Order: sequence, then C-alpha cells, then structure tokens
Amino acid sequence: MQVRHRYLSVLAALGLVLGLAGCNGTLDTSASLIASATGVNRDLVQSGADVVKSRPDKALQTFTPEQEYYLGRTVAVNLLKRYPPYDDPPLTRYINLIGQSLAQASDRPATFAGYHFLVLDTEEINAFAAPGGLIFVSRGILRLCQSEDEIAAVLAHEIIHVQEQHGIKAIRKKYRDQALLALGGAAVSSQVSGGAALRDLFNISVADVLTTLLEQGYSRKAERQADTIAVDLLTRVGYDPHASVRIQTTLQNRAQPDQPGFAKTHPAPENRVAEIREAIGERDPVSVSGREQRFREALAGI
Amino acid sequence: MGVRTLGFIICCLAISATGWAAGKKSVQVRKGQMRQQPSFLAQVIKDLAYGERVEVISKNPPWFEIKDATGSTGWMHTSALTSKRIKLRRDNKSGKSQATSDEIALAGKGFTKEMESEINTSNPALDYLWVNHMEQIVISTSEIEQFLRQGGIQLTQGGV
Repeated sequence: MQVRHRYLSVLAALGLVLGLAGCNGTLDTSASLIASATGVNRDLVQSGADVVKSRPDKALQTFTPEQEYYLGRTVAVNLLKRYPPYDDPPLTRYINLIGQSLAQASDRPATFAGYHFLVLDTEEINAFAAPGGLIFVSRGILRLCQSEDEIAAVLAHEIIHVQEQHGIKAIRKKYRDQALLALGGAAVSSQVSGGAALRDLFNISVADVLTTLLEQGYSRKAERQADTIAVDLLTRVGYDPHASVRIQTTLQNRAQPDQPGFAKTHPAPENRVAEIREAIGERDPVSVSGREQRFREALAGI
Repeated sequence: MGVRTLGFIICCLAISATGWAAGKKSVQVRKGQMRQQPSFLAQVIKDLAYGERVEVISKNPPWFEIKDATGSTGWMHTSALTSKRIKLRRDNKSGKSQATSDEIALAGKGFTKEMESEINTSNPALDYLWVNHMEQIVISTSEIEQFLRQGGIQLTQGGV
C-alpha cells in the first residue's frame, strides 16, 4: 500500500512538475526533475512516467463539468472586459427564452450551472460560447437577424460549440493534457504543492480559449460540426432550419473579413451556406407568424 | 447447506452487488433536475444536489430513470450524471460541506471556486458581477413550454 501511495504520488507530481517545467519537457526528462525535487528514487519516478505514457487513464479524459464551468466563467469575464453587456432586461429575457428552449432540447442540456445568454453592447457582428454554457451575442449580429428563427439559428450554433466542448478542445493539446494529468493525479496526493502549476495551466487554458474566440476561430471541422448539428437542433425544437441559410447569407453580404468579429474568426460564409443546405436536405421550411410580433418588440431598441 | 449451494449463493450475491454498483450514478451538475417523464418539457419533480448518488432503474436514451436516497423516482438526462463518485469536502472558510469531483481534491487546487478566487485576487480587474448576474437568469420548464406554444412552435420529436 505504501509503495502504491508513493507510486501514485509520483504520478501526481509528474503532472504538476510538467506544468512547472514550462511544458517543453518530455515525460522522461521530467522524471529527473521530479526525482531531484522530491527525493523519490528516479527509477520509481521513471516507472511513473512510463505508466503515464502507457496508461492515459491516469489522466482525466476530459474536464469535469465543474472544471469546465470555472474555466468558462473566467473566459466570460475576459470577454466582458472587451465587450460591455447590453443592459436591456426584456431583450435579455427574450434571448434566454429562445436559448433555453434550444439548450434544453440539445444532447447536452445539463452543464454544471446551465446555459445563460447575454447581449453584448457592440456593433461588431459576433457571437461567443464560453465553455460550460455562458453564451453571448452582439447587438450587431442581432440587428442582422430578420426573425426569431434566425436568432435561434445563431444561438443553436453556439450551443453546439458548448455541447461538443469545442472551447475545451481549442486549448493546445500539450497544455490540456498536462492540466488533465495534474487534475487527474491530484486526488492521490495532498503533499505536492501544485497550486502554482495548476494556476498557470488555468491561465493558459483561459488564454487559449480566448485566442480562439477572438482571433483564430475554431477549427473548420468544429465550425462544420456546429453548423450541421445546429440544423438538427433547430428542427428538433420546431424552428425553421432554413433560417441558418438566411442568416449565413446575410453574414456573407455584410461581414468584412478585415474587421474584428465573426468574419475574421469563421470560415468563408459561402462555403458554410452550401454545407448547411446539404445538412438541411429535403426538410421543408417552417413558416409561423405567431412569433413575429414578439421578435419585433424585443428587438425594437437595438 | 452444501459447499456448492453456498458457492451458488455467494455468486448470486456477487452478481447482484455488481449489478447494483454498476447502476449507481452521481449528479455531476449543481442542480440535477429529476423529471416526471423522459422529456425536457416534463415537469421537474425535484432538484438533486451535486454529488448526490442515485440508482438507475431503467434507461430510455438519453434519459435514465433513477431513484434517489429518499426513494423518489423520476427521469434525469444522462448529461447530468456520471459513473464516478463525487466526494464532499469541507470549505475551510464557511465551514460548510461542498461537493467537488474526487479527481480534483488536491486541497481545493483544481479548476474550482478557490482557483477563481485566487485568480481574482491576483487580478482584481476581473469583474465577475455580470457573469454572476447572467447565472441568475433562470427560465423554468413551464416558461419554455409557454414560450414555444405562444410562438406556434411544434416540437418535432415530442421533447427528447
């Protein structure tokens, strides 16, 4: 039992020191660092390194909903430093009603603290999803929407980013692996002072998600996935899936790739429109007049 | 009682215990909604706390029919549940018990509320006020149902 305890402690230390080592060291070279830092026999450390390589189950497979939630909150706070919130309670409630209707019908209705939606006070055409379910849409993109169904199309796309954990996957793999290893090994030892390393990994993770949201955009694969699954989600709830085509066409006509915002961080809309049409297939358009008035009333002020 | 009979009973007990254990799940979200039917528009019977253990009675993907510690039964979406056990730990400041995933029990040094506080202390410019405000916006199941009905929206899958 004692050997097992030390063995597991080494696994924990390995994860933490990898973080402290600045993420460039391999498991093998880190073993020497850990051995010298902890006084644990190097062979034992090396065997721990071998286990990490051969048994990835010692690391978490992904972040827990709680970890994802706290990561997402700090991502959201940083987004709100750049874009102030648009304080319009009736509009906020309207957006949340649309968003919740979609989120609850999604394949991942339960995140740690649920989905929540907020309008950003900017003309920039954009929408963001922080890990865990905090979703933002700009006044700029809402002004382009010609119907509730088009707002639903924008929100459905962002909800799928949360559902598929695209934000988490945007964290550079080596850092994500180190964080998962450190967090996965954390339970086995309370003796290792790993706070600093985890804090660094937390900050790196937040920065990587923000860079993706604000500068680089998700991968083409992630965007295609969000587009196509969103079509299914819209259909599931009863919104018009063709609204996705309409809002994307509008974005194609209005967005300027050299400006910050949606066009900079998303694939060329003409490609997306074709792929969304393919995802819609033979589905008939849905036309309902019952929601036009509330749409006009809710967006009257923006 | 013969040795074979005893062995048979032990085997049955072992199989039964294994099956029971395999059917246990933990609520992995802050508020796990137990519903009357396997549908996102079904009435919420009760909310189960983070870390609470439940027994799975039956499955109707993506829903589990569950029984909680008090014997209440209902349906919960699979995304609210995990097979892992979640430990309770004590908050040193408030003295209250808090749930945390057992994977991150390194004296609260995971990606947790403590980490957020630490980050916020070193960077006071980060203002969580609006994020907290966002999280207070709650839309109930009946409000969603009413909103969809008023909008003339017809669910195509009866609410999964």
